[in-house]
Amino acid sequence: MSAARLCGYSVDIDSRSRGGTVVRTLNSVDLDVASGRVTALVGESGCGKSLVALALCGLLPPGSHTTGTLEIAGHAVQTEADWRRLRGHGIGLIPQSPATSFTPVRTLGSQLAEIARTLESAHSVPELLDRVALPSSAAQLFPHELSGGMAQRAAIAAALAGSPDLVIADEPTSALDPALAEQVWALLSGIAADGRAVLVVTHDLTSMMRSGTCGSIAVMKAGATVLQATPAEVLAHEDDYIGALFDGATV
Amino acid sequence: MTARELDARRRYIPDAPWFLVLAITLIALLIPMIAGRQTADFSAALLPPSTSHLLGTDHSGYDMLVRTAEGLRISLQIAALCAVIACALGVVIGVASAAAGGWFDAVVMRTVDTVNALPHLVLGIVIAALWRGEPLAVVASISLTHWPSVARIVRAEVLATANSGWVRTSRLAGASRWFVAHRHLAPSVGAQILVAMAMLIPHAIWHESTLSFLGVGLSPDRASLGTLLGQARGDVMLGAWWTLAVPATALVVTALAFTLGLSMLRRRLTPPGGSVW
Repeated sequence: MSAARLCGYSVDIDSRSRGGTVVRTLNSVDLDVASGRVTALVGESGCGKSLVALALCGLLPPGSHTTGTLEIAGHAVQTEADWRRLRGHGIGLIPQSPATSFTPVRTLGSQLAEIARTLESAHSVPELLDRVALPSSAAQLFPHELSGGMAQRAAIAAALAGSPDLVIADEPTSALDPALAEQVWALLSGIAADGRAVLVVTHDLTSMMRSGTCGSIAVMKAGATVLQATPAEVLAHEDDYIGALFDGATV
Repeated sequence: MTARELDARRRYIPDAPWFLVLAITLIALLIPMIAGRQTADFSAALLPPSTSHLLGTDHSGYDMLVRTAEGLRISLQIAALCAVIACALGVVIGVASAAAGGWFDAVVMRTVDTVNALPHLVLGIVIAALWRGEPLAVVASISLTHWPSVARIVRAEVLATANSGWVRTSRLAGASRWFVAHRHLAPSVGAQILVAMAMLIPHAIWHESTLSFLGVGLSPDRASLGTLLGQARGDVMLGAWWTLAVPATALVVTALAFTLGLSMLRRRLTPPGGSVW
């Protein structure tokens, strides 16, 4: 089943700094994120991967105009009120910089508790911390006291609080060493094993291929999707761009 | 020692400066109240400090302790009023500017630049001179020249917080605009306002004193510290050093107490781990 689908999805952004010109940032993106498996979104830097992640949360920058269709669980999402209902319960995003995704003035525990309360979550803070293999004492820590790996896992805990059907992770392993990256991939595949859809935006292709957790890979280039297929099919594809992207990542 | 205990120790901040501020405020309120209404007694003019007049008398025979405490009270009242009005104006304009964006934001920020580019004191003198001797004119002249700095701080804080990762996390958990406003924006802006207000009070005391010293502030029957300093100009030449020393010391101690309290407040409001050493 498809948890999220983009079909011919384009985003134009009014750029005030460029004298009112309109910049086409996403150009006809086709993407299918299926439940129960990890889908990876890969591509060169600046090709629009993170923008796809934001579009799937309804958090596009101000001045964005979209065309094409965006469906979450089979329904087109139109209004901000629809997005607000979906966020947390339907969709969880693990942001690119987890260290800044918590306010520095309160402890991790109080912030996770607030998120769980807002979402009327069935999970308590200790349960959420346990789910991402953080000790329960981490609830007492302020965000600056967390290591990079702990912050990453805390951000995953926050995204899981509302038990969303679609979990999006934006570069979850980019700042981690191989061992921690391996842990995060295992965590993400565990989430997919629960029957949820997981979309991972990444350029850390080495650790992704090594973990072997991805069921599907979508390749982006200059704001458009080039191909979405299984890892074996993508590797077998004869294309210079894809070849260069996966160079050395075929372990 | 755990990281938490270390943090608690680093964040321990003495309250002494605020006790000093409290003591100064009590002196300013209680001494004139206890002393009651004062009358001029020219036979007791310019007496040096003694047991009957602890801090001496001025050229009209008024007790300098009572006169300075009264001056301090008026200076503090005007300064507090100025700080509240300037902060209120700054919050309204800063939040509106951040929320509206576009051309409105540009116009407001250029206005802020323009007001900041003019020397505050000169602008203040012009406004105060239009209604000479009126306390409200003094308040207006200080408030109307100091809201721009507050507006700029508030606008920057609102924009920085609204675009922060934790506000995005909050929105990802389905938070409404109202939730973000009262849970994230209000506390961060509130902390800045508290600091801005604590900073404005000693500055406004200095401004008011300068205006009064220059003769465009308050009249001698409603003497502030600045008026007393202005009057002392003549008396000092007659050897009555206490007429200058007493209000000047009061001014310096008050400003120092607020400034010390401010740096304590700032450290307390800074997020943990924010200090470099």
